[in-house]
Amino acid sequence: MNPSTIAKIFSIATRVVTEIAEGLRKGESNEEIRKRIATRAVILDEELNELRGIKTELDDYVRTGR
Amino acid sequence: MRRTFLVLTVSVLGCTHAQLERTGDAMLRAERATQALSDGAVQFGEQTKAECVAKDLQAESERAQCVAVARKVVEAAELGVSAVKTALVSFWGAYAVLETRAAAGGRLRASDLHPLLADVGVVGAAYADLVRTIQEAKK
Repeated sequence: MNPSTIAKIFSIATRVVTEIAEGLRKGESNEEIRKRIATRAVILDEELNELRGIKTELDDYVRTGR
Repeated sequence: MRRTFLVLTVSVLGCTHAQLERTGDAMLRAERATQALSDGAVQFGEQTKAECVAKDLQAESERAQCVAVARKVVEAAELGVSAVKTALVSFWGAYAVLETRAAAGGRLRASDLHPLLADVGVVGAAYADLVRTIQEAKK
């Protein structure tokens, strides 16, 4: 991964984090926090699926050349 | 990750409710950074595969060598995201309980935050492993 990709990733991450942290400081109810936990767990599940998908693609490529 | 630990250090010195909020901020930073790095790992995997396909490598061993670094990075990201997911469910569950107690005027003790800090530590370790793997892979 080249340095510009990493810089771009961190830039996006920082922006999103700032927005969420501001929401947190404004005070969320327990229900809102629970909703956010569920959302975050789903997001991370999607991340895991994507990672497993690309791992399978790489393995298939090694085996078949496609 | 340095920023996360700085936030945690500062939080230990502050009042407990402020600590709670700062610990939440630290967790969000670590989570988001890991998620972003995971996206980067997927992108890196796709890009590497496309480059290797373009080389039209005939031997399976050559193809395996061509994608070895990307596969290592993707595998490390998978382990990292999995650890983060487990820790975040535990963390935000405990956070909600403490936030409720604080909102009701209850006093929080510094020791109440220990389970939260342990979860942040898990995320921090997963993130550090992921970054180290990517750095090693770049060599």
